[in-house]
Amino acid sequence: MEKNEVQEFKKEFKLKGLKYNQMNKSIMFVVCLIFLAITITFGALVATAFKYDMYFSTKKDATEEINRDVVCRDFYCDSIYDMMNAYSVEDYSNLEILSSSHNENLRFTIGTPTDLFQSDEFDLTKYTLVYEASGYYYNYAIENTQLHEGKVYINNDYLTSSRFDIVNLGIDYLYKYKHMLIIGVIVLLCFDLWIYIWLLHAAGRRENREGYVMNACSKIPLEIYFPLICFAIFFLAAISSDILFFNYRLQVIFTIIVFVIGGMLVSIDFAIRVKTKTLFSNTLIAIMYRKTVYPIKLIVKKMWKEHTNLMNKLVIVYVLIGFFAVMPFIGAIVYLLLFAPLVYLAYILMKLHEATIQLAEGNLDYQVDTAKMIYEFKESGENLNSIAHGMNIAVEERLKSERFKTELITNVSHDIKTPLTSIINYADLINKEETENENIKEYSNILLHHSERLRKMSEDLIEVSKATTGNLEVNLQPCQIDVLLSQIYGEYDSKMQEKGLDFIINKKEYLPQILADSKYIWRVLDNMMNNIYKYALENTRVYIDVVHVDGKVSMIFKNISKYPLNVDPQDLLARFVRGDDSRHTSGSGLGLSIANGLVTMQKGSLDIQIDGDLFKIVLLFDAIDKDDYTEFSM
Amino acid sequence: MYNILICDDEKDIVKALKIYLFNEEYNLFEANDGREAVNLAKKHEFHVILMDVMMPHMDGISALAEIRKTSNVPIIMLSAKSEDTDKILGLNVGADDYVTKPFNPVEVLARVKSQLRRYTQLGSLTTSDDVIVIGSIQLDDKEKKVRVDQNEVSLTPTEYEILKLLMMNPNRVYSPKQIYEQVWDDCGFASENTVAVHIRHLREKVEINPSEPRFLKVVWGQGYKLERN
Repeated sequence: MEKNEVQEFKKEFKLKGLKYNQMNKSIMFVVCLIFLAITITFGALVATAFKYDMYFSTKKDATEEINRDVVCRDFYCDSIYDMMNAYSVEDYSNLEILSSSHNENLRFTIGTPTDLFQSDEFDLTKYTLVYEASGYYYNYAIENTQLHEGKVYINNDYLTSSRFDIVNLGIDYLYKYKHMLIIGVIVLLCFDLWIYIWLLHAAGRRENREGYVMNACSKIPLEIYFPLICFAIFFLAAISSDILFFNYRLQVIFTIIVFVIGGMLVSIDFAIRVKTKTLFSNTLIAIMYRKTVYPIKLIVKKMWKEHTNLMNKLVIVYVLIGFFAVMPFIGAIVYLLLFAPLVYLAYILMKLHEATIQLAEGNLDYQVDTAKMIYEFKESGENLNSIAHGMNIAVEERLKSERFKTELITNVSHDIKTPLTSIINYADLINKEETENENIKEYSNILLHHSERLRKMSEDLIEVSKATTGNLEVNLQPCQIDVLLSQIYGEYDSKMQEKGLDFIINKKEYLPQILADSKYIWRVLDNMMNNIYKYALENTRVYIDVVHVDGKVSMIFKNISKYPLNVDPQDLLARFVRGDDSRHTSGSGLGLSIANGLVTMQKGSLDIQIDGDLFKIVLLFDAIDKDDYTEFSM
Repeated sequence: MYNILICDDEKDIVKALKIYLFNEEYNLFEANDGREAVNLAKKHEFHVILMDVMMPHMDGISALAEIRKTSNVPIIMLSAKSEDTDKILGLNVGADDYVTKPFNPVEVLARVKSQLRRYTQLGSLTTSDDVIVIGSIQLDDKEKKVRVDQNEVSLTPTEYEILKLLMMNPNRVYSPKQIYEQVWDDCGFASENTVAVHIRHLREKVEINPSEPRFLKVVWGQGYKLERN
């Protein structure tokens, strides 16, 4: 019967045209709030009536009580009481200020019964006692506690003033409609409830659509939505005292509104969740359950159905119990077991990394031990090994061919040397023969000269092949440049004088040492000086500058060329190239090439600069001595 | 009469050397491989042997070692192998000198003479405190005379002082500055060049081949020393 009635009611309601659209819902929501506000106001009036016992006592008693409260509030009698507490009771001057600054209608007495302080002289008959307080306070004068009393009196005129007319009018109405108010509150509550129920009913429904629909908010998992909205409500309630600091009543009203709206929203959302059956399913726990445990459950269920005999079912149960019981241990063991593979992986990666470093550094003999590696690691390791191997082969091939080249040149020149010895010796013998024939003399001279050239060339050839392929053992030692320079001077001074070349050595008093092989640096300098001897223009100056800059020492040889130099400086470093492009001097064309090779081997560098007839060779070596005075002297 | 053995597989070289060494004082023998040389050395007593290294049947180094077993005759190696390692090998096995091909005949002649003198006149050396002998250089501080292979060499006083300093401490490397300070008895300020020039002159006087000195050696970038091996 009841059910039918409800359905009837629903139908009727729908027929009335209140459709479940957003507009209606919003309007109803606001209407509900407004009625709720009215209900609360009425409720407050009813509560006031109850507070002053209006329903059960006479109007006079209530009026007196209300009036006293109003007076107390008007004159902050609580403050007077507080002041009694706060200040030494002897010091009444503060109270004096308070009373006079407030209202002349206020009078009070305060102090011990024997030593009573009166704010000023007043006729007690014209005043009404509205507030009374007493307590024991410490008196410093007698060093003991004493009973203090405080009484507040109000001028009777004030009590009959217009302010109290309004209050009394209110009391009159309250008295007159006190029963009506109760009924009104009940009716309003019913109406509120009805709208609220309609709102809950409408929640999740849509116009012209069967069933329930979730809104955006209700799609948020409950564990997220609920704490969020609760936080919002309590946050707003909490800050009400800050934003509405000026009025306590407004704060209360604001807090109530926040709670009412929040509560309604939450309840409507819950209604949607319940209706769409997502209250429990749309939670994080449920989602996690569906994603993890549920599939397992399905599998177990399926197995349960397939294995019909008891034995199998027992096994399944046993396995399941074991699974859940052992689960934490399995977790721990898996965690521990993972440790070994991780260490292993790190170890392999380290090994491979080490191999790449070794390869990069040119250590081609390094082999990765791939025996303990698996899958791609093993492949990478083997690839690295084969790269090393391949490179090794290539390098060895190259070394072999270089060595072969050097050996070939050495052997060939050895083989050349033996017949050359005979040529030189017999040319010399012919030259020494006494003969009338001038031609023989001339020819033998030419023979002698060129065989000498051939000798020099064969020696240079070995030298250059060794120097350029690095097939020489270099023994680097500290070498003093100034000593070296003076030695060069000593060796070549007279030779240069032959050609009228003036030797000028520019150097600082303190020069750092350089690292060089004493034997090879001599060959280099010997080559330089021989070049100068051969190609420098007679009667010019030859400069050797020594400069120490940035931890490097450069020796700069400068001379004026006898022949025009139309050659690229780099070409001069190539083998068998000579500056004069002719071949009538005694050089082999290998001098600079040898020098360059030897300098490079000693970790130095050789640079040739040509500026017109100015021929310049710059030898650069690392300085090893970095004394402070060297810097200072520069 | 001195017996000199020339051993080379290249007959022309032997012949040329014979021409150069032809002298009334020398009795020249010829061998064309190491074995022949060893056999000859057993039969005759030689005063100097000139030995090639690369030869058929038995190479020069083996022959050298073989001869050294019975004799301390001066042996000069003649070789186209000009590497330092070859020279060191030959000298270590027992050669007294090492000349690389192609050689200067005059230099070979000088070296032969030097070895002959050293070998035959070793006993006649007057050994006193004032005489310092290093290799073939002999410095008599009392007479202020220097002899190289018994031949007197005329040195300037400065050259003499430098040589004396170096000979008193053989194998020690003196920087030009040190030499200047000791010889000139003055602080060597920018005078290193003078020392270098003097050393070169000295080398020309006491060495057979100044560009390849046997005793008075240049340590490039460090100084000079008199080497006693």
